[in-house]
Amino acid sequence: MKTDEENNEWKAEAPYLASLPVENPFLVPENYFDTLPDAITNSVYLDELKQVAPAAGYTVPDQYFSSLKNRILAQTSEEESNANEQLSFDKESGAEEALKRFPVSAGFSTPDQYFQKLQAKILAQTVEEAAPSRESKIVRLWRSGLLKYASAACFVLVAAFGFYLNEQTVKPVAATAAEIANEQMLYDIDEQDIIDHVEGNVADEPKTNATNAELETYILNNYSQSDLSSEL
Amino acid sequence: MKQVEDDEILEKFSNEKTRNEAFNLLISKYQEKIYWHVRRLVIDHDDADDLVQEVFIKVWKSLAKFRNDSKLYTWIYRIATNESITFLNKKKQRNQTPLDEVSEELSESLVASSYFNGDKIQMKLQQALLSLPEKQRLIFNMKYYDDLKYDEISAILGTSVGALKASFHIAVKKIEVFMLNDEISL
Repeated sequence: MKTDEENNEWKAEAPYLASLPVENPFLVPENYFDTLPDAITNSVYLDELKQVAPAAGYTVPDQYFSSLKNRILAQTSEEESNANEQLSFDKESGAEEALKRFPVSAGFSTPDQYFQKLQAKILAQTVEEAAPSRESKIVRLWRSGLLKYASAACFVLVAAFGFYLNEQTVKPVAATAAEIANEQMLYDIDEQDIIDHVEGNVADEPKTNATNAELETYILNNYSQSDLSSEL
Repeated sequence: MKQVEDDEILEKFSNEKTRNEAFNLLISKYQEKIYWHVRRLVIDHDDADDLVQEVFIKVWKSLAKFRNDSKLYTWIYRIATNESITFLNKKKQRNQTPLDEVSEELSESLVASSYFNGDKIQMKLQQALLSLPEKQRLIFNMKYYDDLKYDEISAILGTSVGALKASFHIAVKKIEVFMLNDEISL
């Protein structure tokens, strides 16, 4: 009773709508509801299969998809440049139109009017520098045979003189070595001995007024018999 | 054919051996109701077909967790309603079309559909429905075509009975005006 009231109270507010029969104007394909259970069961089965094997058993390396885009772009750009190279050889065979379709400078840029200035720069550094104002003169070093032999003789003389000088400078070096040896020997003698020797020499100075007897005594005291015999 | 009670379906579903049988019974019992509920919302048959399958996949996945604190058919209706509204929202986002243009698109697909058998008045009625806001259209369909009670609709949509009544009456008045104006213009 309550349901009837609930379902009918709106009919007073919308009599036109209430007068219309409640019909379903939509259609479905023939035997649709006969096949729908199978379709639903298949969908459920496939969904479960997806849950069990979400990627159909296939795996990809780590971060495969994150780097895939960059690798594709690199590959396409490489292939594009290869295609441009190949097409550049085919210009005469009518491939210029195809070449125009491929931007050679894809991904790169140049300063404004770079190529206009480039030709001038290249010309300035090549053609203009390479064009000399005068041809340089070639002078031969040995113009005559006489000059050649005179030069050789001079060279021999200079070499011989140099050798001679070298030989001369060796001797002073030897003398110097003897002096150094003497100095070393003096250095090794005790200083008191040198003083005594000098004083002794003063005392040993010949005395003009010494007698022969005194000389004989001195010789006998200071020299041995073998020294005397070797001196004589 | 005698309809199987929901309790029997649920009991069979709880048993591993009779689970598939229970699901087949559930499909047989609710497939048409759910299809028509979805079809009236999305209009196009193919869209409705896809959505019905999605709905029953969700039912299969979640039925084991279903608690008897609500009726089985209101629970399935809720899933179907949510799926349909989500589909329509995605359609709006995908096509970047405003809400009123979506109803125009649905209206165009209604005219172009080969699975529409209504006369001129039925066509006008469907166009009047498509001019309503989504929620009012939903409530009108459930009351007018599915003959559901307000408390059942309330359980499905989670809206109070009072709000449902108000929405339904507003929808009815709008449709009446639309139909009469259209009738006059004809």
